[in-house]
Amino acid sequence: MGNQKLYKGSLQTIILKLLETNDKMYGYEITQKVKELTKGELKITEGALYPALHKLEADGLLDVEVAKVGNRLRKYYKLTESGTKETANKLDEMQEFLRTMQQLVNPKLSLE
Amino acid sequence: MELSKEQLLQIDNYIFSYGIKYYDVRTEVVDHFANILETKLDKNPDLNLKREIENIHRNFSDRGFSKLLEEKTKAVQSKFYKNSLKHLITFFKLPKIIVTVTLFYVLFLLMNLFDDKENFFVSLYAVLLFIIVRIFYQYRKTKNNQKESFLVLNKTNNFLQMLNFIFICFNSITNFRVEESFLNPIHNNIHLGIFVLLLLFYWSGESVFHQNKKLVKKQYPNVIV
Repeated sequence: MGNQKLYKGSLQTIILKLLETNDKMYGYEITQKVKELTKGELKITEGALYPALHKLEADGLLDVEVAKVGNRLRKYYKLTESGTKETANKLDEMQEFLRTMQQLVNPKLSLE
Repeated sequence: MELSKEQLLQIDNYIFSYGIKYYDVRTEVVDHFANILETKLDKNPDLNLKREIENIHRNFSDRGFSKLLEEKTKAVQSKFYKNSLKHLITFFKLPKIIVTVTLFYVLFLLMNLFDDKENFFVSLYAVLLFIIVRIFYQYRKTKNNQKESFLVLNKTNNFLQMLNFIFICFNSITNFRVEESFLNPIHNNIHLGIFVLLLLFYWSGESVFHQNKKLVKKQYPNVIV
């Protein structure tokens, strides 16, 4: 497993991107999806995921829907209109960051 | 394998005992724990539930639930303040600025009807006193009517209590106005302006509180709020 600290600053972008692709998701589903997509490379801890989700909700980027599933309630998160716009911005920022890092870490490759 | 109501209650009680008293926060954590347990029970049906709950809790975060609660409280408060402020600002933009101007103007006209301005401000004092009692009554009512405690309502209710405190302070401070001050139109207009601003601030807070209450009722229809 890689250095989890490197992923820490990207958590919000990861959540937004997943919600853009999957319409609505709940906390556990997000952790499992990330694990699946990264083949276990990235494991999001619940202690980091939920505060991030709550922050995005408070910032008006996510909407919440509570549904009864079996014997219990489940909280689903989905993107708001401004959340969709912010996702595009965050993804652009991320691309830019990756390009810059590539130039720093592997200058030869970035020139090609 | 889906967890039974009893097993869910066991998780709920466990999480409650670790300080998550608020229903809106607890339901999400219960669902998370239940999802992990269901996956594990599929692999091993003889799992010791109590021990497994403790394991999930241990892996949750270095600081258990405290960080989650802290961050959620911060998020709820910030959202409430932002929404209240946004609502307050609408009173200074079209079309609601008409309400603000009318309110100030009507009160201004009323003030000028009084020969002794002090009597007019005593009536304003009574209006604020009425709001103070109303906020307190509402606080008690919300607390007693709830089967469960909701973080989103609890924190906004606290804000209204803070507003209550501001009203009490304002009433107390204006009590110190001397007779000559009531003869000064600038002092009277400032007093009136602050009163209108406080009233609109209260209106905004109360409105956002009711929006939150409506949302909670919609999201958790089985729990009385």
